Amino acid sequence: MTPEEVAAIEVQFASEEDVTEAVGSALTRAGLTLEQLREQARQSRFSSERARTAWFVISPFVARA
Amino acid sequence: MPAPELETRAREFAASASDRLNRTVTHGVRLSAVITPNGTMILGCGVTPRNFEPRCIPLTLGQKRPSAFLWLAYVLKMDPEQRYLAVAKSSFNLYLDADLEQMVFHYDYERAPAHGYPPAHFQVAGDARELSAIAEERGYSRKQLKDFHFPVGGRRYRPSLEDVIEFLVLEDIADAREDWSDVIQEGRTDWEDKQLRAAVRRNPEAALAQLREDGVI
Repeated sequence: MTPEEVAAIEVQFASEEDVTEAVGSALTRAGLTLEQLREQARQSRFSSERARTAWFVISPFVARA
Repeated sequence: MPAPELETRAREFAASASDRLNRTVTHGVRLSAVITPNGTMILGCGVTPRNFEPRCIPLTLGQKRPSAFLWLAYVLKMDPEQRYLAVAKSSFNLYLDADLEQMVFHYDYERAPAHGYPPAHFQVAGDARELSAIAEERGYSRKQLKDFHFPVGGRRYRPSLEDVIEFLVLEDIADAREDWSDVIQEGRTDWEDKQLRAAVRRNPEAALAQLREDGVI
């Protein structure tokens, strides 16, 4: 890859508000509540592919304390 | 780690994966990255600060109808020493459609999974009469092939993106560019080197013992 191509890679910073919005959007697309998705993740048996991919991207931000 | 440094690391990682894909089985793919306030990074095709879910990548080298779709995503974090970028999670998924309705298989890795299955595992759609028979015999009447988590190499030696690309080409699931094999080898060498270095960092005594035994030190 040329330096120009590397420079063209988009890297953006998210705020806390953005993260909250991203988590909410993923849950909406999956059609599940956070608790429902969390339970599916615990069993690693998801009701849909949307649910599985949603968990993949939001799990780092919704871990229990 | 300062934000500009994180940005550089994320950009390099995304550029490297994009390059690997475009020199083998895709055309014009550009992965992007989002860096969150706690330093966790999400990488995938089309991720933005308010949408962490990547788009599928069509497996085609041009205008031809894609033979399938690849969904790939990484969650990256700095290692505990704040020196190296580490993959906290990765997922390489193959679908028949861009809407994620028809999954073919997926390779998943999660350093600290919420479930009790292997951190690196493989799941595949389809029917397996023999496995279903065992599951049913043991009281799991609705367990399907896709519900089985086949272990694949553990945390350190799990399959890489290069391994998945190689599978797609060798099994003729995707068209490939002429020198795809060289690209895969280049990426694999890089991956194996990084994994070996990480293994040595986590277990220097074993590495030193082997080097002593071989007379290197």
